[in-house]
Amino acid sequence: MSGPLTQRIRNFSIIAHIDHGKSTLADRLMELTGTVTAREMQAQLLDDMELERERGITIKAKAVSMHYTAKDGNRYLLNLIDTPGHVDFSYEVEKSLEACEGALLLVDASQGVEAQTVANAHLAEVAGLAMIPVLNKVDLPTAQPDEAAMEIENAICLPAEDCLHCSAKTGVGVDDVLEAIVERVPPPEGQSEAPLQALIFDSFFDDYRGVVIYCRIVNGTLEKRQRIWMPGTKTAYEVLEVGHMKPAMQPRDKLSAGEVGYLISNIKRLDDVVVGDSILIEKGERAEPLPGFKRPKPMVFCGLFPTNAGDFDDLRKALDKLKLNDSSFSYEPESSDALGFGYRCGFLGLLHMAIVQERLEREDNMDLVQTAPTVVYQIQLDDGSEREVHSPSELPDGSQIRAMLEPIVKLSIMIPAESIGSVMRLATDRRGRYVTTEVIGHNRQMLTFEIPLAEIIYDFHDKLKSVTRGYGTMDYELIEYRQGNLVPLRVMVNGEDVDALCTIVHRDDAERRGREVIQALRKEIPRQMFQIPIQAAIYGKIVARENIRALSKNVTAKCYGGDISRKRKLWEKQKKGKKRMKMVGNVEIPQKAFLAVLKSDD
Amino acid sequence: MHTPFCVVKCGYCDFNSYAGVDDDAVQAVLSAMLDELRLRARGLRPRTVFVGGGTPTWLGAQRLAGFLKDMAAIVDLSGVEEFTCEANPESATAETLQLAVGQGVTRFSIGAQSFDRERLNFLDRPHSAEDTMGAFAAARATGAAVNLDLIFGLPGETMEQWLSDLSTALDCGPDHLSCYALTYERGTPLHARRARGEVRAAPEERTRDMLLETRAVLGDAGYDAYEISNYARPEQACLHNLNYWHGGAYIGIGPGAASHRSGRRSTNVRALGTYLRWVRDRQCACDDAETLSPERRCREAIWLALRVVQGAHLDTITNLTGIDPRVLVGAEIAAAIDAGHCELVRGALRLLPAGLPFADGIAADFL
Repeated sequence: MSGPLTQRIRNFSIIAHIDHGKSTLADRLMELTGTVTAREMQAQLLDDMELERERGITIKAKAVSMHYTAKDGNRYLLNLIDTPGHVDFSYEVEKSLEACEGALLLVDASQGVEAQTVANAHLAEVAGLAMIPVLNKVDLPTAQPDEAAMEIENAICLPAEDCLHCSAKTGVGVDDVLEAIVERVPPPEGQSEAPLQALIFDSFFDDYRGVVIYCRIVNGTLEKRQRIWMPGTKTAYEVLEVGHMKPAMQPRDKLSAGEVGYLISNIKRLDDVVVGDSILIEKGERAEPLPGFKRPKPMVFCGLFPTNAGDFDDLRKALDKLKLNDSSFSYEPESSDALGFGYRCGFLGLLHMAIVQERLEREDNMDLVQTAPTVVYQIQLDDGSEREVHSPSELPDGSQIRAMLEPIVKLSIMIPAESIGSVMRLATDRRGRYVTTEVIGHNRQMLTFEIPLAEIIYDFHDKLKSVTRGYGTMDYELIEYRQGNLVPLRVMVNGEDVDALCTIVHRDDAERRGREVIQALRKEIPRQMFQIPIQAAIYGKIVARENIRALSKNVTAKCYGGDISRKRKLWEKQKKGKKRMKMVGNVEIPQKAFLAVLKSDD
Repeated sequence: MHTPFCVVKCGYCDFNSYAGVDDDAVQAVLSAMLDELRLRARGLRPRTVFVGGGTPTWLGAQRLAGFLKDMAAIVDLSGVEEFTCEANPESATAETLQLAVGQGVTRFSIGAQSFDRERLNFLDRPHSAEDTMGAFAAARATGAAVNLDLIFGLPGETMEQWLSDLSTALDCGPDHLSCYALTYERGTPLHARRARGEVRAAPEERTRDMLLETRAVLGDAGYDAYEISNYARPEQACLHNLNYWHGGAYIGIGPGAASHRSGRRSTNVRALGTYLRWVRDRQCACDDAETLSPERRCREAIWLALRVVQGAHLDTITNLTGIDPRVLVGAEIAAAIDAGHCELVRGALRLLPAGLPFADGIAADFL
């Protein structure tokens, strides 16, 4: 016999909002099934990157196989497929879910359903998964399991009485969760005798073994020394090793239909493997590729420039290294009149962007200037041609532009009822168009808007948190590109056009945004030894103007009693702050100013 | 010698000083200071001595004189060229000053700060203009040199008010004047008041104009602006302070006192209780020390020397630190000269009048 019978396999994932206890539950499942002993158990085993742990989210999907002897006396193979959860990685979430037959919908009994939970539950529904609602943290005094169950019924249409109660922290009720997985998640279908068809749902780069692929065998078997073909990238490889993750790699002779495991071939670059691609046999009777494959496209772009021009080469090396572990991030050289040589980088979303920048600064110790993030615009020119613009400075002359299209998203916001007025105002002020309100539970509602992505990529989430006193959560998905009356808002500092401060704004908002940008810059750019005019302009017309007065004095009294170290340290610290500034012409502009152009003071 | 006692703690002051310390504790600190002096400077022959704080005259005539006498038994004061004692108007009695001179003091530095009741009040000073006049006369009577400390740029203070203070000070005829712009030091009550919006700092432009005007007025009156905040009649510059700017060696004794020797800078612990214990148990009160690399020492030397009128003599700095500033910070030197802030005269980099108001920023470029 090779491997357990297909009937005894359960493939499932856990859907949960940040902090609702997904990792803790995964730990507990592994412990109870003896996959890892309590001693081996590191907290948050599945989230093993430092940054991910700090942010409390899982960025890369992983899988782990567990053996479980159920109350019916049979031994089952449970494959837990971890999903990234966040909207930035929704394509990866989708593919992870497609590798499963069921999902645990984990909801914190004291917090209730959040926007992200609804969005991911929707993806699971589309993928046709059996969903098991689980209320976590029922041991907390603030837990309101009945209320949370009601919200699940209203928002996700799962009967309230189907909810399991557990505390992943104490272990209470986790047995029932294991039993429910066996009972309610259907076994995988698929024929081991059919031609090979497997789904790649994740991959990572191992320094010693190259690229490791996570896959789900849909039909057929995947064996060592087999020749395989990946239609998405149109490449062939020989299988060097297959096996299960327990959670360490455990080699096996083969993986059969319904199983989940890893695959190692001689693949050198993460770029050569794309999530969602299929694995087929190279020669002979080849099956059709699995549907729904695409390459995820970056949605948000920003410029990254080294603060010191001399660090350009270090930046390139750091980006190359990063790309090895993150194939969804893109970069190409960019040069700015103001900032010199750097890179235009593309990200799946805002969180992804923040993570990459933080990683560069932390792991590679780079001092970076980041320009304001921008979405991808589609430009139709008078000569009938079309092009994509990733940076406001790439915009052609206004007279050549026939139309500009921008990405529109469907934005879902989950809030307490009393915040409706302020959230409405927040969204409509940013060109949001109200679509619907759904009552989810007692005092909780979900508002839906259509809104330009450009309006929510900077401080929208912070503003939402502040108007809802921290209770609001949001999620979004791209719906389409729409034509908008958009214009580039240019900024001149001391008479010089600073390309890196240029943004694209709606014509109707241009004057107001211009004034806001100038006010923000006035606060961020420190006074220098001469007066600095700052101006905002649309197609040559000045819409806002301010002067930063010249610095007139910068001298302190004395070094008290010879305590020179203290004063020097103070100055050295200020000097370090100054290093993070960029000389543009003869004006020093701090890093913060380049982002201030998107901030609004409302 | 840092005696850390005052009758009140002024709101702007961030010196290490304490009000309301009882007599036993004062005695303990003074004797610990003498212990520290024995440990670090026995038999040393200093060129200058500075007793400050704190308010040395707060100790009273007998205690201060006794302390100075004990000091003289530990170090060799025969080569002293300048021996300054700080004095505050409320406690600088004729007897105290006279006894201090009897123990070798050659120079008094009087904390006048202002001659206006309202401004003294704002600064929490526990004395009147009359007290200052009395203290000045008493100091003069001893035959010692006298400095007056003044503060300008208080909130709401006008140029006329400041010039009136300055002219009152000049009428006294001091040998030396230190004129400091009011600074808001982190951790002081004044800093907190400004943060709460209760106090609004004077506009930069006004304090700059006051600084420039002070130099003009004092220049006309025969005082040489030998350092950014310090003015002296011929031959009356404070040698002890010049030694700080020139990167010389000094030993600081007492809680929070700073020391320097050959690029090693150290600071004593500030809290009185800890100071007592450390001197007793560890035979060392040093809390924080750093040894500067030759490169940092060179940078620091330029930064400090730019404050002094002669500027930073580049060859001297090369000899002192082993690093040639022209190699290390050539670009910064060129930039400061291009900007019209500095000039290079006979091998020394000096601030020009146009650079003076920005002295900190310019000097910090070399750090």
